Amino acid sequence: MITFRDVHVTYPTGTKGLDGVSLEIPEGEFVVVVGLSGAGKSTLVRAVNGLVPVTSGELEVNGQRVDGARGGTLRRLRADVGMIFQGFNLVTRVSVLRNVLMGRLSHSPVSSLFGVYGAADKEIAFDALDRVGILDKAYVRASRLSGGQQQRVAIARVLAQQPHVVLADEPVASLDPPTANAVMADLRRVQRQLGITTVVNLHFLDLAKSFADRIVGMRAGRIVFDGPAAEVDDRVFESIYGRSLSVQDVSTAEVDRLT
Amino acid sequence: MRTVGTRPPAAGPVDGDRPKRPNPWRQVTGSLVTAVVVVLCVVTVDAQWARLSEAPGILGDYLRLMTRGVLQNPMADPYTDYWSKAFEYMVESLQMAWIGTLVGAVLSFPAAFLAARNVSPRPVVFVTRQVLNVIRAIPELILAIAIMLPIFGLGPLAGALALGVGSVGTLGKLGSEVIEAVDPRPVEAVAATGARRLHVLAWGVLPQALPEIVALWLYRFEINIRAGAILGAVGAGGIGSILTQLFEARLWDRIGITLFLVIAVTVLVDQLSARVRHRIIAGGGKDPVAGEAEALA
Amino acid sequence: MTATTTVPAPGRAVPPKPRPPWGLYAGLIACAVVTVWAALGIEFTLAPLFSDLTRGREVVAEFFRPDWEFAWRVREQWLETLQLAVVAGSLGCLLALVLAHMASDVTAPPWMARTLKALLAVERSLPDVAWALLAVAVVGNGALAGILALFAFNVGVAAKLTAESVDAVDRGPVEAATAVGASAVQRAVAAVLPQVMPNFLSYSFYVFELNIRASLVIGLVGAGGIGQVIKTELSRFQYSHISAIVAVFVVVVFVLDQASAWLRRRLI
Ligand SMILES: Nc1ncnc2c1ncn2[C@@H]1O[C@H](COP(=O)(O)OP(=O)(O)OP(=O)(O)O)[C@@H](O)[C@H]1O
Ligand SMILES: [Mg+2]
Repeated sequence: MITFRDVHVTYPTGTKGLDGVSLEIPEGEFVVVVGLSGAGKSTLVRAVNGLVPVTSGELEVNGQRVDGARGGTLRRLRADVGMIFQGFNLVTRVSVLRNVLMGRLSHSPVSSLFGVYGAADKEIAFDALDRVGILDKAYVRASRLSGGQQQRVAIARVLAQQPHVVLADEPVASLDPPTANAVMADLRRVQRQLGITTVVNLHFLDLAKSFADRIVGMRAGRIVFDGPAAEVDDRVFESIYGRSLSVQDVSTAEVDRLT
Repeated sequence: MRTVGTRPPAAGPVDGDRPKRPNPWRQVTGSLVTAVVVVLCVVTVDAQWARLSEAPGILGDYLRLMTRGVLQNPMADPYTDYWSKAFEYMVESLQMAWIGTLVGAVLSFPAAFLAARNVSPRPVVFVTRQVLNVIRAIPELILAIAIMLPIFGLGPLAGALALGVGSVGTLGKLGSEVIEAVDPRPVEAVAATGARRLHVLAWGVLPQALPEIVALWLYRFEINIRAGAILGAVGAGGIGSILTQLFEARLWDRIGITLFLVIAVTVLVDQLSARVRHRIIAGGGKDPVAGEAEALA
Repeated sequence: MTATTTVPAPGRAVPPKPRPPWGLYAGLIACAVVTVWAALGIEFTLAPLFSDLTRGREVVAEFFRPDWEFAWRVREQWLETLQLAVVAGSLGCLLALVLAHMASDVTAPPWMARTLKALLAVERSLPDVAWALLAVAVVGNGALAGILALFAFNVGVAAKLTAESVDAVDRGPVEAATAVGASAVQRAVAAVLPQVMPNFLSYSFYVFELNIRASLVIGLVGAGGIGQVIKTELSRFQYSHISAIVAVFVVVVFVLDQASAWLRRRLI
């Protein structure tokens, strides 16, 4: 459960990232956020785990206030909120398993400093890798994997956190359309299995429509559309993007519903 | 919070299908050997560790004496003299380092081209590189004792020349690496106009490599200021000569003044040189000097 | 060639001549002035090369009769040189690794990083002789002084180089670690350390090599190792002894240099 109540984010440069956002995302929902570049999608997502500080308003994740949280409180909150990045953000020099075990950092704060993780943590990591189908790569250096595989490692890292909420900021923007589709399908499947509340930023409307429970459209830091994926039509699209749909707005791959 | 148990398992059985950890014997033996060597050295080295217990007290006393020297009114009688003496020697160190770097730059410039694979034929590259490597292995101190002092006599000139010849190895080697990293396309373009070899070097290679080579010189200047310090101990001029004398006589107030000047001047020159270096290679992307040059100095 | 290529067509705007690079000229003139001043200051001349070349003949001749047996006789000092380099180098690099993380914006709060960087700059400004002289004054002649001097010298070099590697680290994984809820120390260990480790190892080996070179310097002021032998032989004018040691020394440094270059290539 994520609740935004009139949240404003103003960057130090004076730019308004979020301009009075109110939003409620119930447990287990898969929400996709769409909007033009600069609309504030990343800001929205990154506010949820405090990577971007909230200027005013209230932001709650599972009853825990994010705005104003600092130090240990913020770290515990982040441990419960997984994040997937556009650039994967893996430590490419070390093995896939080490990367996934990063998700266990907050669970074994001392021994992890020496690279020592318990058998239970390892099992959780293996299970996470298994869920995204790359268990056999566990001991391969992360740099040796393809982009799609690297993003799966990132998803596994998030799963290893055993989070209640997963955030993904354009998780498939660096991937080719078929791979993007497959990675999204993986994310969606795992999300269904575990019932994790998930917020994803996407650029492509067709991907959004085929995977989302609910779509949130943003423009200039405000929410301009909020409704079930099925309701999104050309008119809604125009209200979000300020123009009509064109071929550039859909990924080229045929979307076959894997979920 | 969810636990492992309550999560539906991804696959069926847990054991058996997990990949095996590859044997990391290389890292393990590497770390073990290093650890053993270090421990052996710590245990066997003939150091009087017991003296360490008194060291902080003694060091504290000396530091107090040194600070007192620095804090005395520099306009008062003996202290004016101390400051100006220290300054004089520090200036001499700077002069030695500057001339030394210049000599090194002049000698290493052609050597860098001879040692660059994309400019010179293989045999020439090989021979030049080996010569540079040998020069790099000879410490400035030895150059001063064995060659410069006998020929040029006591004084800063011998020191400057020792620094100069000592710089040739590093400057030549790093310079050749800069030249090898040059973008080959403009070079090709110059060659395609029918220019002769020297023109290709002058208009295709040099403009690309010069900023970084000059940055290397400046960097070497910073190193030479430090490297020159020891030369004073054998009579080749610079701050080292007065420093060793002062330490022999244990004149702590003057030592304090001298070290303070060394620190102040060196930090100042370093900052200045770093700023100029960054200006020179601004836009050129990475500073080739920062990590690598020091790692080869 | 026709005239049209040299005479601009009527009406075509010729771009204004760019401003001369005054900054560059000023810099060049400044360099020339500094050079003249420095050359006068140290009385630069190459004349002795032609007139007094023979003055050093005896010394140089002695140098060409190295006493190899002597180089072997001082094997204990050779060993001590190695020991000093290893002990000071390993302790110094370990401390430097910690300091480097405290001296980078990536892993430490800006005020701490800035303060520590400044302190390290001051620490590095003292040359190895100065450290050796200080160490000898505090703990007396011998290996301990050598260890302390090299240690101080190593911490500065290794910490600066490693801190620069930490600065240059890929921020992505660091951000990922933050998002996982990692503490500052966990972030450094999980996301930064793996990235800087190859560089750090290569710097450590470089520091070891530096220590071997510096052992001459520190021994010369009484801080143990092979340099101390050179000091005694120098005062006894035993150039044939010195040349044997120097020859071995140069070979050792040459080999180490090659080994470290090979290692660096493998690590990075
Ligand atoms: N760190 C920052 N400092 C200052 N302004 C920022 C910062 N990050 C984002 N902004 C500004 O905030 C606004 C919203 O940016 P945000 O990154 O949330 O957009 P976005 O919808 O994710 O865009 P994109 O699709 O390009 O990723 C933009 O105007 C942007 O310039
Ligand atoms: Mg964005």
